[in-house]
Amino acid sequence: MMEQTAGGRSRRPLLEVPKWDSLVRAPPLGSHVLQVYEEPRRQVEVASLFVAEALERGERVCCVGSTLDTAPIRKALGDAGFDVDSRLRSRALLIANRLVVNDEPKRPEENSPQSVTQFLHDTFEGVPDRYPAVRLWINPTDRFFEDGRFEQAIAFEQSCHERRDVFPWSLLCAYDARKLIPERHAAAFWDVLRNHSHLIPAGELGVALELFPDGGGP
Amino acid sequence: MIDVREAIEEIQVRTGDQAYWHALEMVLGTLTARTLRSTLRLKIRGEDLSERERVAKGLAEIFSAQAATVENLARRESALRGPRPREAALQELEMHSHWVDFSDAANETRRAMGFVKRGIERGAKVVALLPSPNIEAYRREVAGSGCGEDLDSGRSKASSRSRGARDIRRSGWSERSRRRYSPRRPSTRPSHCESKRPWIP
Repeated sequence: MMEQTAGGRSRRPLLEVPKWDSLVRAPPLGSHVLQVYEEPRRQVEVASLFVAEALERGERVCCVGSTLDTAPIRKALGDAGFDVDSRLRSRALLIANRLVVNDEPKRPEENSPQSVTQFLHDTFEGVPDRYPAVRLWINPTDRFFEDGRFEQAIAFEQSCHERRDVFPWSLLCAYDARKLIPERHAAAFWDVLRNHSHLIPAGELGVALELFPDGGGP
Repeated sequence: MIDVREAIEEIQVRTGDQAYWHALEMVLGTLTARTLRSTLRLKIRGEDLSERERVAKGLAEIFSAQAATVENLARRESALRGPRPREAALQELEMHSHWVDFSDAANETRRAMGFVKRGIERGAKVVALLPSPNIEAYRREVAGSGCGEDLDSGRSKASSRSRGARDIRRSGWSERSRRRYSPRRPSTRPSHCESKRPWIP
């Protein structure tokens, strides 16, 4: 039996906490999922299921990340029987290095408002006429941890989070926990959590947890 | 006499907390749990709250009812690993477990009786290695607890610590186990000397 929270959302009893794969297969429109992984294998497992299910359903998928992150996903899709090159040519599958779709970054500040707008325009081209929805997979690890530009990364997450009810899309952001330094990232991690709707943690239970189901208020 | 009560209380608190942190890491993964722990230490204020209470409060905010996943696991972990009533712990001792029991000299043999009786009930042979002055007290306790027959039949045996250690050495067990668990080294034994008895160079 479901219990209603103050925010009107349903509160799940313990035994009903869903496993990550059910969320990743069919994420609700507007969901903004945060995956924190400790093994790269787990990142590929989750991402390839997310992408493959979208392609099966005729949705457009956009993957944003370094070549190191996207190459294993391409390989996993190929192993699963998808003709990746043909999907790329038809633009059902978009692969972007940072925010410049299917090309190398041309500007030093890819996260500028103009770049984000251009990126969204490219991503949503043909939606909803040809594609009913869009799925966006992104690994902002290099931006968030290695460059140390927390504010830019969080600004991007925030802009996606604010637009999640406007566009017919669902987002999956993968963060490499091996780069998390508890003292250094303690405050920023709160902002990361605040700007997502679900968490797929790296723990053994393999669950997906809803973030701030009460809206975060007292 | 050293009063260990305060230390034991501290160990009990630490065990409970460790079970909680362990449960958190099981659900969230080690690195996320540690970062979140630091995050919630910063975010959740309250001088009168322990670190664990702050984290629990923060989890309830982040995950709402799902925070129970962690709490529930922590309770299960505490039950498995944390402190239990002494009598219950003695009833559930597992094979290969190795316990330390602190007691006063005055009631040492009496406190051991639960363990001894449980062993006899399970059909085990019970050997007690004791300081020599305690052997008589042990025999009296065994007789008084209704296991006197086992003492007569040899199923429950009391031995002084020094004699017990000597018996073990003589049985060759300690030498066999030393060889079994030590890295294999080239034998220095002459090849014509073939004996099944333990051989000490």
